[in-house]
Amino acid sequence: MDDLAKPGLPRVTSWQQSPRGLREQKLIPPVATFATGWQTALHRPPPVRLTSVDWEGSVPATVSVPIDPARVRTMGIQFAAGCEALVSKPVATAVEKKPPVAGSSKSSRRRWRPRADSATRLRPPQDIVKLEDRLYYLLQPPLESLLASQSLHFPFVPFPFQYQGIAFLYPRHAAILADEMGLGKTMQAITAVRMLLRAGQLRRVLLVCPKPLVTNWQREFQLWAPEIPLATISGPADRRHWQWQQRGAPVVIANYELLIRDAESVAGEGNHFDLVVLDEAQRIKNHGSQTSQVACLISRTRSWALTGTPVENSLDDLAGIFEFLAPGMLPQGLNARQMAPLVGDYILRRTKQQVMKDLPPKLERDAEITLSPEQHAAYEIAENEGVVRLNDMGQQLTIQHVFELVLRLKQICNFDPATGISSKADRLEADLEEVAASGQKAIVFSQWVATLDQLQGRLDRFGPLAYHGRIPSRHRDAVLDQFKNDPDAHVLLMSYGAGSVGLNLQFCHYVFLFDRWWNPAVEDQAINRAHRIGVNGPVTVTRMMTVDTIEQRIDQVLEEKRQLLRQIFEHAVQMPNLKLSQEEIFGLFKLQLPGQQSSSAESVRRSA
Amino acid sequence: MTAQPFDTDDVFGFISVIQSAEHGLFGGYLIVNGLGRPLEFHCTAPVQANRAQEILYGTTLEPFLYGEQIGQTLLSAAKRSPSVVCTDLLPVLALQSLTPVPVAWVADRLPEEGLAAPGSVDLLKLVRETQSPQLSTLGTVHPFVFADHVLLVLESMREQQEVICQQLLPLTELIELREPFLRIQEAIEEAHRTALGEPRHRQAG
Repeated sequence: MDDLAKPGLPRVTSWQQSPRGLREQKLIPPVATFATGWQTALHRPPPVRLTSVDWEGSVPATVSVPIDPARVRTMGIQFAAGCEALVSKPVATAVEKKPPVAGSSKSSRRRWRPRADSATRLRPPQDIVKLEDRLYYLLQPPLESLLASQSLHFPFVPFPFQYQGIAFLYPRHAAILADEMGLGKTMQAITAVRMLLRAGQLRRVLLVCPKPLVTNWQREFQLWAPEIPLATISGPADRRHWQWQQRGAPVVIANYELLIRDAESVAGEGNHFDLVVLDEAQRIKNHGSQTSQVACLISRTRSWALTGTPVENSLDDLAGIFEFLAPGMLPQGLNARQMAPLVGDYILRRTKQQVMKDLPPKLERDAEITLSPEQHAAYEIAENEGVVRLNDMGQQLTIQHVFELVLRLKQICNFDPATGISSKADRLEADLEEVAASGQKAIVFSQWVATLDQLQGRLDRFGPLAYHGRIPSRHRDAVLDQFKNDPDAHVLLMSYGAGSVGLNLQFCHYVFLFDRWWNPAVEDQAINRAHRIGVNGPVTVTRMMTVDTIEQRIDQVLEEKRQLLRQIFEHAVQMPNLKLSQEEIFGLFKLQLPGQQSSSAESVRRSA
Repeated sequence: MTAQPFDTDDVFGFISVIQSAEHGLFGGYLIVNGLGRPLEFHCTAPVQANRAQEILYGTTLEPFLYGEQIGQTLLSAAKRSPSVVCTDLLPVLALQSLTPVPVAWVADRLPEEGLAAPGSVDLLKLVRETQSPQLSTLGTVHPFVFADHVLLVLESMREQQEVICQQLLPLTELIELREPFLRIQEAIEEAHRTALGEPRHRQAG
């Protein structure tokens, strides 16, 4: 009844569960009513239509995209760090250490970091086939960095083409360095040897050269690799036999003549060299010669040949050299077209013309020569007797007397007065061989006509022509003309006083100063009268000087003066004229000036 | 990535990648000592992204390939852990998130005017001008000048700049900082030539 009393919507009074699981509710109207049809309708449950939807089975298709990174394969190589400075302590050798030569670049070594695009790279030669070995060379730092990192001292900074030459030699077991004379084959070979020794790739090296060049090689080693001990094969046979057995010094120097005489010792069992270097290798161009036969018999791992003239007469010359480098590789009788692809990787040749941009117009180099035993004996006697005579002269002593002694000693330095033997001429001949073989021409200067006359006989095979004061003026033009046009005239013998402005000898690229003038300016004038330097290519000037003689003492005094004047006149365009003062000339023989002698004598009397 | 103390062994790593139109990417990793001499070299087989990776990685593909696929693989293959890893390719910097070793990108040498007065050069602008698309995938970066080059590290390595310079200084006295990348490229080409059996170029001077 309470329900009926409340107004509003009908209340749910009961819930029923129908057989179909539906809930029903009975609606009771809020007022009493009589049952009619519509009430019955109210009691009827509303019809509910159901529609079933099957959700299962409509899972959307998916596509999986694998993006897991694939495993990347790698290949790797490990390198040994390498031996550092196998020969680290400087060892005294027979050759005295000398300061940098006069007239050359004086810059001390500094660490130099090359630009990546201009650095010299080591590259493996074609005959290295193993990938690891090839990568070893490709992955090395630039040569300039390698040299700097090894703390290698260089007296002068090498030219770029010289770095390339060193890089060429370093990885090669067979190589010919065939640069034109004057471009520094010696220095490049020594530096490559030095690096290989330090890397532990060499332990024993044999260097073979003509006899006149042995002391030159000793000096070059002292200059470019002073820390490397040298052993020079010399002396009587039994001593040489013992020397060949020694294993102390990593570098052994011998000349071609001894090589033949000691063939059994050199090529004997157990005598192996990691590297054999033949200087002036055209000596073995004839494979049938004894020299070539012995050289080829030497047991070795690497073979290098240095020559400015790998082809002197025919291509078979080159084949002869290759019998030493790589036996059987180059048969005889090949023409140039057949030979070129076979030898290309083994030969490096640069001419001065090619590397001109790297070179100064004038290349000066010193040839320090040791007096022959005969010259040395004559020199000692002359100097000792001469100094005694000068000392005995007391107040009578004049500068003229000293000059005479100096000149006499200088002449002995040129030629032994008794026998005519000359170590300078020996060296000159060796150098001129290469000049002539390469078709070039040279001028040889001396202050004495007599010296030039002696040289004319000695150098006959080079077609020497004389141009000095004793040649009549009317003949001089013809001499110059012949020198220029005659292909057999390789040498012009000229005195310092000869010549005048306007000599046209630009085709001549080699100058030898057989003996030196007092004043370097006079030397320069003589050279420059003969050349318009740099017009037609660089000129190599070789200054010949005998060591431990008056020539060397004069050179040292002049060099000291030059150094001093450079400090003072740093920015001067032209150096003042250098001369030896009276005091300096007297000082060459440790003599006192006459005026000083009397004053010192006076002071002795006063003190007494 | 937080900077971690690392081994000062005087050993330096250089990573470079060369692209072959035919085969894909070849990575090379050179480890050198303080004198610039090679101690280890590792290179990868060709790496190429598949089409799905190209689409799904989008702009992050290069850092993924260069940094993770190539860089991380090479670092893992090596026996030695370097003090610094240098690279000549900016996307390799993504390797930094996977290694505690500082990774530095080495740009070309500063222009001449920059060499004279490095302080006057806007380094970030210089880098953006040349590397803008790749820079955007790396986040914040920190450039600085060292040994005549612009170097770039991720911002997380900013504090390591001084240490990186000190570590690299002795090496840069002997070699230019980009020089080892030339060696890597030549070595990869040589390895590739050997693998294919191609003839070598004549080496005559």
